[in-house]
Amino acid sequence: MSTNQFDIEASSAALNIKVPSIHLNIGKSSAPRALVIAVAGSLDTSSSPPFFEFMKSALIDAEDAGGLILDIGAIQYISSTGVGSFTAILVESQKRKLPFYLCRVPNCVSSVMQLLGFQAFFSYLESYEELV
Amino acid sequence: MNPKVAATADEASFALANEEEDEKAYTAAILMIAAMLGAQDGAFIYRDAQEGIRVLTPGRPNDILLTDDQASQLAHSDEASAFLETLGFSFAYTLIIPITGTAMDACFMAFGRDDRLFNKDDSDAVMGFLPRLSSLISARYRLARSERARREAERAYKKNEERLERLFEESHDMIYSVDNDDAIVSINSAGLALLGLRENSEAIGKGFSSFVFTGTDRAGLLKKAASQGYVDDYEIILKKASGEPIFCIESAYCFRDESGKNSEILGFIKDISERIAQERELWKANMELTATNCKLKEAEVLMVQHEKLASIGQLAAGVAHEINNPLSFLMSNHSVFTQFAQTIRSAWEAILASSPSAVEGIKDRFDIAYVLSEMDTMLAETNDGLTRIMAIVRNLKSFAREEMETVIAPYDINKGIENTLIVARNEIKYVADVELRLGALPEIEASAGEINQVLLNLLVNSAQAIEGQKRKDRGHILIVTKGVGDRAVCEISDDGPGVPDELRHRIFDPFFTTKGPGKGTGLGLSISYDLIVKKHKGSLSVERSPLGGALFRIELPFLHPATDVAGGQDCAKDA
Repeated sequence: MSTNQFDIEASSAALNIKVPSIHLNIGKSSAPRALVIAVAGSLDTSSSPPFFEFMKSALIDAEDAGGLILDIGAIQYISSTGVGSFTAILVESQKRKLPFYLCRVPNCVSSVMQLLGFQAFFSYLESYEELV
Repeated sequence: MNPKVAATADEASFALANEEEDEKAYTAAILMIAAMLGAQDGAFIYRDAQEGIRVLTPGRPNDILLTDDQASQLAHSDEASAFLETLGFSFAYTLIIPITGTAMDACFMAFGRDDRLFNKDDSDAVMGFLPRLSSLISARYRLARSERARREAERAYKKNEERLERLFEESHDMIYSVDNDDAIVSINSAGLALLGLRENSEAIGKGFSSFVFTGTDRAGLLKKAASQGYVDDYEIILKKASGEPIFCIESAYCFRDESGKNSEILGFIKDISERIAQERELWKANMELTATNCKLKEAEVLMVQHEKLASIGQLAAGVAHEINNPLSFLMSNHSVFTQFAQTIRSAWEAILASSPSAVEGIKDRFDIAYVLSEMDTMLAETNDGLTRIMAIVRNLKSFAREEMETVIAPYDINKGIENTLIVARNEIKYVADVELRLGALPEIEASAGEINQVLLNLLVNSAQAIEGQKRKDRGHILIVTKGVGDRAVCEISDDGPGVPDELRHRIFDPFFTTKGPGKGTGLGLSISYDLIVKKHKGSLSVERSPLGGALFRIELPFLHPATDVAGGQDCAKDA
């Protein structure tokens, strides 16, 4: 298993974060200098609040790791609320002076972010190794 | 009398179902009974399918429909007779027979004639018809009610259809339906307006996906609708004919045919662009506010640091002055005393060489050899101590900028690193290997002596931190230079123990040190900070190194802001 494709299903099962009704799986792993959180599924009005709550607690672990990578390569759908949750995470990470990266941004996400005009606010990674 | 209807009750058709036919049947019955009685006219008062009270008089062209109040007057035969007269049913003799046992109230038969009274035989004859007639009326009434219910249902259905049509057309939100291939079957005016279309024909038959900004989003909605039969509040970005995106929220319902296959999707779409725009502004403002707050906090930390440095600078200048004078004569006396000690040693050795027997007793009694040996050691230690005090005072003076003369000139930072490494070689060579990744950089405007002093500080710190780990392997120090915007950046990182997070904000504080006693004064980094930040308008920061230890980053502007430096120097003079 490469660092870019860790098993979200297994990881989320271990974390007890799988929420089938809202089609959102959250996995947790690590990379050099950062904690990696990977999400899969739909990040919409229903799933965004629990996702953000999880991310707030993950930020504490990310402080120890030195940074936070959010791997959204397996996101299939995102609503404006989902993008809003990214901005909220960015704000929280800025408050902690914690580097925050969006990794493997799919087209369905980048197009919404572009329409909302938020692309310039974020830092991006193509892979975890870029951070090394 | 109408001869066509002069027949028996059996001849009357009772198999009629609708109101018009009911009327015919009732008319036939009245005429038949009237003929039997020799009456000139007959009337049938009954509740019809509309549940109105009708007065059916076959001899008159128009039926009379009574109000409920009028109908209530027919509760008694006397009143019924008087009432019938008001309707023109006026004869010398009237026979009124209430028809009981039906499902209706207010049901009468009335007959009139002028030539003779009605007698009991007449009423008995009519009564003989009643059982059959009442069952007929009941059956008719039930049928009529059923017919009425059907008509009412039809009316309600039609009304509902009109309402739905009105809702569809007048809704401010887009309503549409698509077939199983996602081709648009219907779309309302709001939908056309939302998509920037003028005619239905511009949408009907076209794939809905052609009006969606991101095709995969539509696929997601269809998949969800197919699996659970509906979709609630699904955010989707539609595309106007002009290409302009529209943020919308959609609820859709899936209709299935008899075989359970999806046959149609009915969707309701609301334009939420305005709400999204407001949210976007809010999020944006929040992000910008946080960024500004972070900058403010950083500025506050810098200001506090500057303030500390200024205070410490004043203190340092005072302390340096106070210590420097006694230290000068201590050093001078120590130097002279060392020479005197050497003179005494030489004299003693001369005496010992010329007449050893004369001083034999003194030598042993005073243990001269031991005293001379210890004196050397003590003088050396004193010298070391005084030298360290001098170094501290020099650092204090440097901190207070009383000593160093700043000469701003073109400075090659890569060359500066190489020169500093030569100076620091002894500190580093036994503990770590140095890796250089020096980028091509133009010369900057800086004070070479001061920048080199900072570089030396950082390199020696790295080496000492690695050495302090008591590790078996050699450490790794990485020096990277590069240009970023209008600044030259130099990063010195190591794989040593690093700087604990809780100490990171204190590391540039004067007199703060993690080194053991005698190893550091705690001024090195604060002086470095002062030189880089205040004198050169650059920045000096520390963070976790990818190598595992600490990473110190120096950023210096390529062009030295001379006027600011002058200001800084003035401040230093004040201090």
